[in-house]
Amino acid sequence: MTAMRLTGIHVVREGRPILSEVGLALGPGEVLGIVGPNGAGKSTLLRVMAGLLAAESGAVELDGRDIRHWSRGDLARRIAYLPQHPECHWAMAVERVVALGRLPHIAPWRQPSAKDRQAIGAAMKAADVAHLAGRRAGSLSGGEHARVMLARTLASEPDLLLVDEPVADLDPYHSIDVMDHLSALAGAGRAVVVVLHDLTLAARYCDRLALLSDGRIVAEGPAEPTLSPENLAAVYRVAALRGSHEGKPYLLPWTRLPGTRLPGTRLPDGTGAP
Amino acid sequence: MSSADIALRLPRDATLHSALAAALAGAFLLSLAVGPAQLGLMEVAAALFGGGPEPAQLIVREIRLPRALLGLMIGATLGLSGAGLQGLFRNPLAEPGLIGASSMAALGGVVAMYFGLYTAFPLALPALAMLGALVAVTLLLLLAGRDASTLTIILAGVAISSLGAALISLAINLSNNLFAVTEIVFWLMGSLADRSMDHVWLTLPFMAAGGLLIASCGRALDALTLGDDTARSLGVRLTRTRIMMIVGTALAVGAGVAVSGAIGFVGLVVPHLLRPLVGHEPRRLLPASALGGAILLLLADAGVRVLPTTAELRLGVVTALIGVPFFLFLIFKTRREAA
Repeated sequence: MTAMRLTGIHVVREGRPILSEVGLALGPGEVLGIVGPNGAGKSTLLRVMAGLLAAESGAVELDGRDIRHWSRGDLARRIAYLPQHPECHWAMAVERVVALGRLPHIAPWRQPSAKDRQAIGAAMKAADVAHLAGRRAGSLSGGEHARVMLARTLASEPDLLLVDEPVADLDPYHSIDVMDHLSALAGAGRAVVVVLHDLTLAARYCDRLALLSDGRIVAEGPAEPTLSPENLAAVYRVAALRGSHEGKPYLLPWTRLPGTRLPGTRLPDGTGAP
Repeated sequence: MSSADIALRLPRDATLHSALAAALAGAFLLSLAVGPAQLGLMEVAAALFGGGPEPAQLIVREIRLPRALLGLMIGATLGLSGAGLQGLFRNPLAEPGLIGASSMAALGGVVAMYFGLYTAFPLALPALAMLGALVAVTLLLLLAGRDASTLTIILAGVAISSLGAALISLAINLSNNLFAVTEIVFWLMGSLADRSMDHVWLTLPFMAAGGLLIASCGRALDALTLGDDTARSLGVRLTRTRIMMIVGTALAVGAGVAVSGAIGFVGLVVPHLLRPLVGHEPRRLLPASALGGAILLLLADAGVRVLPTTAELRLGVVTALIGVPFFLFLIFKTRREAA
């Protein structure tokens, strides 16, 4: 069974291709990691999957039906999306911010049901923000804010969770905690797509990785082959220390390779994949 | 994993709403009781329900009741649209007056007066005023874009207000009828004096429709707290929300301006004062601001009747005199928070 399938996605912005020929399939119970250097098109890909950005060509299907044929409300009940720099404009109480994640499930002019409140409580617990419930958004540290926003995303209990760099602002304890939780969600039959810069966490936690470079998927599959030394050299221009612990691979980006490009610049040969 | 141990508090605004409703009832009674004719509270109450002497009945039911009702309606729509616009733009400085909606609505009204349209067709004045407000809010959305900064909104608002003011000045400049000019100038200053129940019935449907449109955007405004993309991912149809807010504000503010002239700053002051009392939540701010706006305008309108000035002060002048220092304070506060 496939939860989401992307075929031949092209996105062009200001005449520049952002995504080209992107195809992906994702099943329930799976954690798919999207990795790649700055400007590779990771966040754009996630927005396309969330139905927030229409591709110039290609199709996104959810449960076999084109995403354009889903209503916003139905989509919102199935997919939760966490952007890279989530914002909160008003100084609302943390538990009320998290409760916004339940909006798709609450009929207009209604109060949250017992089930909604339980989901909100569980989400706050999962993201370790229950103790912040009464605090105001805006008075939080960067890491606390990131976890509150993650809790907001979890509160809708989505079948498909799309999260853009959820651990970028977190300390090691909370990074591992969040990744453990995303794994547990997949273990409970949900699908998770996570954009990650941290290759160590990506290799350890994702069932499958898609390596993006200049808008193309240049490698896809389990961590070991996808983040092979050749691929790391070609796409990231780095070499990593490697090993395994308790049956899980780890890698630690260690040195730049000669001819290092500046972040955001393009490889002369386009894809750079072996 | 058990989550039952987390006691999630549901916000209850019943106490706040009761307090505001009680204050509103008081302000409404005060508005009925205040005026050049000295009538006691009991006389007013009796006259309102058709008792007591004929002149008192006439004063209360024909002069003071429409004035109080219009104060309530216009104040409520100003408070509501201020709170709604602030939620839409995610900005505490958005307000019908500051973004130029009132000024463009006033222009619509001036056009109706200048060409004498409203004597032939009474609905022309509110219709053109609403059209003016519609143009203003649409222009603002186009000029300021989606995620507008405070500066962009204020600058766009200044531009739109200036356009309205310039065209009004043009109309006054070109007019060779001194009576019409006086009428326009006094109307522009904003007042609720000498209005009739006809004004109430003429504008009530538009204000109710506009208010309903704004109120039904509450959920979307809550979701917009998290930004455009996240709001859409939560099921909000953004274009629909924007159109509903634009049309709602235009109906509410346009109809209000048509009756009272431009009355500024109510939509700025009231949501700001009430926001902390509703947990800074845009949706909960809407009903509270409607009540608060009605209270403030009724009190201000009672104030202009009590103040011992030679000519009765114009309501728009008073709200501006209260509002501008408040606006400056808000700018100062926003700057300090940004620093």
